[in-house]
Amino acid sequence: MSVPVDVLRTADLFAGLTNEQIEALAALGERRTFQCGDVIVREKDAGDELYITLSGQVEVSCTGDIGGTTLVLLGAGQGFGEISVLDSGPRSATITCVSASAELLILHGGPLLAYCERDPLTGYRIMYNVARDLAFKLRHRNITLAGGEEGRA
Amino acid sequence: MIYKVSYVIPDHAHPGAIINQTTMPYVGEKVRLGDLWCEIVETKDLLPPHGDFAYIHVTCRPIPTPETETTSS
Repeated sequence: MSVPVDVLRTADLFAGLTNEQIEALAALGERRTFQCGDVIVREKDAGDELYITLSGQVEVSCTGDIGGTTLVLLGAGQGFGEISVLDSGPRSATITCVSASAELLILHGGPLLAYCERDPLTGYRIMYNVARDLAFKLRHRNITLAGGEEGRA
Repeated sequence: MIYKVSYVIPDHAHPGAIINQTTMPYVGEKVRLGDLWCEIVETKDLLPPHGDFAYIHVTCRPIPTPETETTSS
């Protein structure tokens, strides 16, 4: 089942792309719905899929020396899984569905990177969007760790 | 315009949330972040707009679950 372009356009990954480019990218992926409590990605597992949240919310958490930590909730338009796509390493966090359901677009890393190499200008835009999204997540994390003060400054 | 919103709940264990939405969040709005209901107490631009995206920082406070639920997801 295809995803309407106007829904995809709200996702950071597709910023600055034409409708045709968005449709071509979406055609590389598959759409799946998860239920509350479903583990979508497990920390330390192998995997090269990039996920885009179309609806619902997911929780990003990771284990540490003194127990698990929830890092952030991600809602509509947010991508995750990009780290393993970029560095081919294991999953850096566990992703769990925390809303009644969550609908995701799943893009496999191989076809996605191949698309970027075939069309470098579009590939640059996609990678720029991924980088901007990672930067925003880092800003959010920094603000959260600072107790919200940075965002008020 | 698409609003990329960083929701932060100061002095609370909740890690906050990042959500893209097509409406600008506003003070007094009630949002559900996971299993926690919050009320927005402050909004501000976090970054300059870029293309179709605006980058917003929102500060929230936890509230009891409202009788009429309004979700941000």
